[in-house]
Amino acid sequence: MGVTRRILLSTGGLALAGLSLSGCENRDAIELDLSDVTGFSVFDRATATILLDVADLMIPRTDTPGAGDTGTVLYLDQLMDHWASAASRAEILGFPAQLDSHARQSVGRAFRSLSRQARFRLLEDMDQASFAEGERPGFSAAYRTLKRLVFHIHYTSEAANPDYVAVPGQYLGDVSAAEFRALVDDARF
Amino acid sequence: MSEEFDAIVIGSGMSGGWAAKELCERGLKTLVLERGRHLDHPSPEYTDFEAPWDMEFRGMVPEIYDEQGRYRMLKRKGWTYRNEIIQFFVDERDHPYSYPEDRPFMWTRGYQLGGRSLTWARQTYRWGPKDFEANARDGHGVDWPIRYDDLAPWYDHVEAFAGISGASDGLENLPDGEFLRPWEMNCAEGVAARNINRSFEDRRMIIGRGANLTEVRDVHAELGRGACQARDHCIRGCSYGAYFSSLSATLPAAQRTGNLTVETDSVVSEIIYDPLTRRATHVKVVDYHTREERLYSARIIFLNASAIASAQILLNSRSEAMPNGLANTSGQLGNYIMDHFGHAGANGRIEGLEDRFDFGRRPTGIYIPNYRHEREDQAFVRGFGFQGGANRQRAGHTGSRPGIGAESKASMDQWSPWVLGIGMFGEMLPYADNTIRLHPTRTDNWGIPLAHMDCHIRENERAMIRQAEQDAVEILTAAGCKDISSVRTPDDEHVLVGGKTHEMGGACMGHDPATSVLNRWNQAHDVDNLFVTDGACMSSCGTANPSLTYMALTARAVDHAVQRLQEGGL
Repeated sequence: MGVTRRILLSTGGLALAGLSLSGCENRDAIELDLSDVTGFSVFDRATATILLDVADLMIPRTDTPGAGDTGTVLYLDQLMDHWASAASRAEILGFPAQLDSHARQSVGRAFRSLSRQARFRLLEDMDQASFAEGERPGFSAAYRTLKRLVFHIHYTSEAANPDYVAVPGQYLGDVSAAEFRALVDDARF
Repeated sequence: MSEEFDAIVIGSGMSGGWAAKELCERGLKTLVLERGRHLDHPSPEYTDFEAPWDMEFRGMVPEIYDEQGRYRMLKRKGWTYRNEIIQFFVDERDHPYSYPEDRPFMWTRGYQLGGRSLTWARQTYRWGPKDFEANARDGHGVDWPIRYDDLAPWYDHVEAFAGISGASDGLENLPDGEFLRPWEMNCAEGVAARNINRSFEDRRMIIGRGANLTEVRDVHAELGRGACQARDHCIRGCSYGAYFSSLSATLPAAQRTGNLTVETDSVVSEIIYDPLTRRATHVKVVDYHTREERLYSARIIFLNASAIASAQILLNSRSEAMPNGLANTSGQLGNYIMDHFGHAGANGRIEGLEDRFDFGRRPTGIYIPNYRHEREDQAFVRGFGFQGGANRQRAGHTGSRPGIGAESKASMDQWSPWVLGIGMFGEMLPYADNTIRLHPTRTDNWGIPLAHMDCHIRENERAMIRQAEQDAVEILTAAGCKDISSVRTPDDEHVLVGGKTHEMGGACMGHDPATSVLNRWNQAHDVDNLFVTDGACMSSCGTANPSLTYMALTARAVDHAVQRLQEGGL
């Protein structure tokens, strides 16, 4: 299984449609828009929407691409179909509802109705807590599974690997940053 | 009826490929029997040109394998549990073996043409004089019937063909050889090596010697082998043929003689012995797919199935004349199983090089050879070396640590400092009661009794592990490292024998037929036309990676066998 160019382009479209909210760090109180989420085979629209948002909060677009730019959640959807164990699949599919429940308990509102800043704060607190808790099962474990997969998918994408050189052709053990950059550029193109 | 050949080689891996090449080049019609599937070179199964984003499942092994109980040992091995290379490893669910519940043994196998020569780590060191003298010196195991000088010309021979990169370091017990240009140390390793070499008289940090072609000589080009491109994707198979494997080098060399026949999917169950002639007459094969039995005969037989599998085949070759297994009148067949062990090491930062980088992915590391031979101020005999390397990467794009958002992402994108890490490679003593036996009741899909391994390390190895942790910190301190952290397996934790995939022993060489299985020519004491030249023959395990020694022993044994054959002595 691989993510096709069509799917990558489709994901790019989603990002442009405002679902991933990339590049919105400076905006306040953006509501999640549940419309126009397509291309998923395992995740339903609500699940995909939350996961797209969570992935984007974890790895936002900055001066480098974010998870919304690299088709991360679409790839995750395909992993659920062909790769994941029943346990992981249950963890990922159950995560949005657990996240929503957690948001209601923590701040008294549904996750999707929070501002981006509030959603990020909630997720950041959860991130710290889930690693502090260690390997305990439950919501924290589901979060860690999701985070591990999101990071792996994003950082194995082409867009997230600008320095990857398939065939270096040589090994040089002591080069400057400028020399390194030139060698990478020369080997990649 | 059986098909007849001049020679049969059982196994097509590291040593089997060499046996085939040397036999074929001496004009013998040679059959290679491989239990695994056929692979071409280059093979469609190679994944060396796949970028991370092209890999199926982005390199992650399907989680459903866990649910199915598949590849449990490979997963335990860690770094080789990757989806893009899993086709080169055996799932013990399909090919089981056994061990006592409280003493698991790791048997990593590759059932394909070329065997584990496709996936080896390519570290290639000559053993030194002290390695071959160790058993005689301290009384453990069986004295090697050869010494370094017996093997030296054969090291020359195999190095020139295989293509070994390395520097001439002038070390007493790590002899120099016929090397190709060495890889360069990176800037951090260079600093560390200078500091270490200045601080100690006995410890030297050198660049790793490896079987990747840093330059292509005629002997390599003739086989279509190309120069290493510093990709470090060797374990995925190399379409350039730049690292040495049976597929890229020895089998093609054998093939071009016109004397080679290869039968894959051929599971050898036993070697049949004729007590009247004291010769092995046939090799019995069970077809992997049909379970049909076939017989092949030859004038000489080379057993190169890997240490454990070769001992297993011999143990299963029982007859009225040899009820305890072929070539086992000594009763030592299956004894003295060894492996290198790690379980201690350290790493630390090298400062002052924040503006320096390396380019390319060098397919070797650094090496600190054993410096503890014959020391009397220590609680153990033999010793250990260290392997490792320095590198710097982006701080780490992992979802397994706390941190999300733009700030975390930016910090993950930063280059980490140079970090030098070293891990021990200890010499396990040869213990007669570290064994492989046939399981009394369980058989595999081909009706062959399972191999049952019962091995564990003892106090000598525990003492080495404790010392190695101290030494690692001492070495990194001398190297100039900061923030040094060390690791060591606690004394009460089982050390998995087989973890280094350097299984040795089981059919040891020795002078005396009463205490060993093979003579100085790797020839069975009991069976004149049977030679065992894989890891099974090793009488001790040294501290350096063993493959080059298997190659040299194999070439030497073939030379002897063919001479004897031509003289009518076999």
